[in-house]
Amino acid sequence: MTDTFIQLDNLTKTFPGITEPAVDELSLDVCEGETVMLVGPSGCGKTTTLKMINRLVEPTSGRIIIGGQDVTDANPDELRRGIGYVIQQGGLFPHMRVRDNVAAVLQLLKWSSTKISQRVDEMLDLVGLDPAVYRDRYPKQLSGGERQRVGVARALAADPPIMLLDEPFGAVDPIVRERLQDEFLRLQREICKTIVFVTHDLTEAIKMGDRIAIVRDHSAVAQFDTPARILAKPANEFVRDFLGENAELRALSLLEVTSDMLSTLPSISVEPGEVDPARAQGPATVVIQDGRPVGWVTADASDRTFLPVEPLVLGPRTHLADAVGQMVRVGAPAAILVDEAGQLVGCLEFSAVPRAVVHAAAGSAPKSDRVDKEVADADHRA
Amino acid sequence: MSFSEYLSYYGADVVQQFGGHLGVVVLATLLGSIVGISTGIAVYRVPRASALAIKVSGIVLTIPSLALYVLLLGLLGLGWPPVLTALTLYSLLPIVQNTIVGLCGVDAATVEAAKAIGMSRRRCLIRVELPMAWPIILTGVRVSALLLVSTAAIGAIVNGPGLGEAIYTGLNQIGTPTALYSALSGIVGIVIVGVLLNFVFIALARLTVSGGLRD
Amino acid sequence: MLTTAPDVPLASSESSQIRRLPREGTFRLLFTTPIVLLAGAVALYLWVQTRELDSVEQRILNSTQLGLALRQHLVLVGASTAVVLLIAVPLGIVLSRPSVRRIAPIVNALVVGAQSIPSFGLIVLFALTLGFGAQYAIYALIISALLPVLSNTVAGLEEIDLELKEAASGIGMTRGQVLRRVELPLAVPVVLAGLRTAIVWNVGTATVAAFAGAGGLGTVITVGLIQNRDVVTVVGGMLTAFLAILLDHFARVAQELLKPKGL
Repeated sequence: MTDTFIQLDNLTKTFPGITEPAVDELSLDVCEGETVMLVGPSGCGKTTTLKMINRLVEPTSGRIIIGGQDVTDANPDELRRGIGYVIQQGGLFPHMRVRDNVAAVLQLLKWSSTKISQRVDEMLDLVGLDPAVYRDRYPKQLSGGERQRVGVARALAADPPIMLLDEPFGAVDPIVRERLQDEFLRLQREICKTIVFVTHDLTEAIKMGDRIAIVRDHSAVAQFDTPARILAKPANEFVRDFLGENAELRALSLLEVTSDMLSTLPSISVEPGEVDPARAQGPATVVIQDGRPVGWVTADASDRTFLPVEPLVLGPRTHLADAVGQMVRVGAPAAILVDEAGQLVGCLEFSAVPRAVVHAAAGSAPKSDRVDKEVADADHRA
Repeated sequence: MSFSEYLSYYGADVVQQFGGHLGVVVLATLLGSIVGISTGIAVYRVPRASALAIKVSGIVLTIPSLALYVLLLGLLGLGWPPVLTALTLYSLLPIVQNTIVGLCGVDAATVEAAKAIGMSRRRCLIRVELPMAWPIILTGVRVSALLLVSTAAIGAIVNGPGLGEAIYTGLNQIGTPTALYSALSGIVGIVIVGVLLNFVFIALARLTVSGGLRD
Repeated sequence: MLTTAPDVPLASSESSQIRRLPREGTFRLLFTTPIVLLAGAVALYLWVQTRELDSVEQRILNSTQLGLALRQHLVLVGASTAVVLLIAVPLGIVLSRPSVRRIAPIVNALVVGAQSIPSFGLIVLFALTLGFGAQYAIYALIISALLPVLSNTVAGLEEIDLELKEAASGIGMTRGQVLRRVELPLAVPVVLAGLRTAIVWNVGTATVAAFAGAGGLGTVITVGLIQNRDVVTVVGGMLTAFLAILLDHFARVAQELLKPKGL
């Protein structure tokens, strides 16, 4: 976690004619390069909060500080040219071709036309659209997913340090949504923008966010933390309800299997073709062939069987859920993990999983004071 | 005398009247567009003002053309001034109404996207709202123009320009063989003006309406 | 010719958040216009009183003559509008049926040409071929007003959401039932708008019918023009304008009151 890049300081928004504020003294900070998700039920004020960052909605009180500068009273047009904004359905200009849509901010910034057309092609490439095919199309000729990509391209064109996204993948079907989410994650790995992302979909929040702010009425923050910690330790009743049943199970798909979770179980080496259940020691033994683990030999009282297993590779792509999945599928008491070369590293026993979750959720990085205060305030108000 | 003989005698007059008719309609439409579209742009964000603008231009349209021409005589005398003024006033309603409806009808999300990019109000109006409302505005201008084509005819009674003259002459010459020819050449000429203008507008729409907006 | 009259919002923009124009309160709706017109009429009367009228002017600017002219005008407008409604509405229904709609492009081209036929021209044409008098003038009025009401009816029926019609058929309504229970009620506002346009248009054309010997307020104007008496011309013009605005007002009230609830 690096420096705070966006700081929302006691932001309040009261709409004329409505007594209850839409956003009530919200304070939040977003670090440079991180993705913060604003999740909450409909009507809780998260979109209003987002729109206050680029001042599409002017705060009734409070300050917005971006990159160390107080922009609450700055020129809104200029402010917005430095912030990328993506909404549901893309918000593309229907009367302009794709290239003019993507170039919209660049024209405002008075780039030269050669630079613009170069950049447009670059951006279309970046979001996975072939410039030659899509450059001259009109929005009405594009599918929902394609329109979203163009919307993202437009938002990124001027290389703004900040991106604001308001349910950008809400209007497309689930298959396209997943693809767009994956691509967005890939993109973010490449370009590292500071992102604030509004969604009502908890799964999306868990998938996409570095930190999640669970938000309730009047945009009060119920909990603001990493997905893993929220899932493992919901701060209050509201968060627990919002996460739904078996939130802890979701933590399993977030937490990586690390070597400190593993233990060593007895193993035997065999020649190819020769697997003798009789040689099992204890309840289960790892069978190794040519130096690579291939499965288990279990020795139940009734019978001894050989269970072939596809070992998991220890690394950032392997989560506790994959390990548990392997165990359940095969019917084995532990999961087998190997390194890149296929050599046995260790086994994750089923009994070790709960401890691993709690341990990982406790985490080593200290929470910031701001977050603690925020959670305490929310609890006070609840 | 047959119709063709009539035309060979008076053809020049008819052509001149045709030009005059076309001219006064085009000029009035142009003036009406300038005033009407500007008014629409000025008021579309304020519902009260919009309703008022539409109401006032609507009332003008209600007034029968002969009455309006005649009432303007006092100020402007005979000839083309009262006719041009009256026609310009008549052209206002469809143009003002369509400008307002067109601009108000632009998708709010698109306008917000324009603001979010950092476009100023003025830029947003010019680059986004007007182009998107243009098909509707152009339809309003077309409706006005076609309306004016037939309304201009009565202007002949106050010595106005155009083919109404031929019709009026026909009326005054009742009993003579040329009366009917005169009236007919006026009517047919005016219909031709109408059809011609309609084609012009279709071509104009092709040229100026963005491909992304056409159905 | 107008395809929509002033206060009817264009129907098709449901998805976007268009700003709806404000609806006036009932009192303002019913009474502003007549009150203003009354004030105008009083002002006109007073103005005439201040002028010394010579014999020519006196012969026409008295209540008998003006009353007669007014009645004649109303007869012209009433008769022609009624006939137009009787023809245009059923014809409009026929023309909007899907089977007939195929010939739409040809019809459209004809419509534009027909719309340009000047009503003045029709009046004169009928006068020259059939003769002078109110009867033939009414024929001309009918033909000239037929088109706006017809095109409005057709446009209105076509605009009714295709989905709506499909939904109605989907729940088992016959073609006729869909027409009666769904399409017509929803087309009422548009037909009324066309009617209103027709009335206003007819008041204007009836003014010109004076040239064909049909009587009406146009005669006051023509006397003023021919005799070169400004007072008469102004009175004729103003009275015609007042009548047009008043009739339009009544039509508008009818529009508001007869609108199906929920629109």
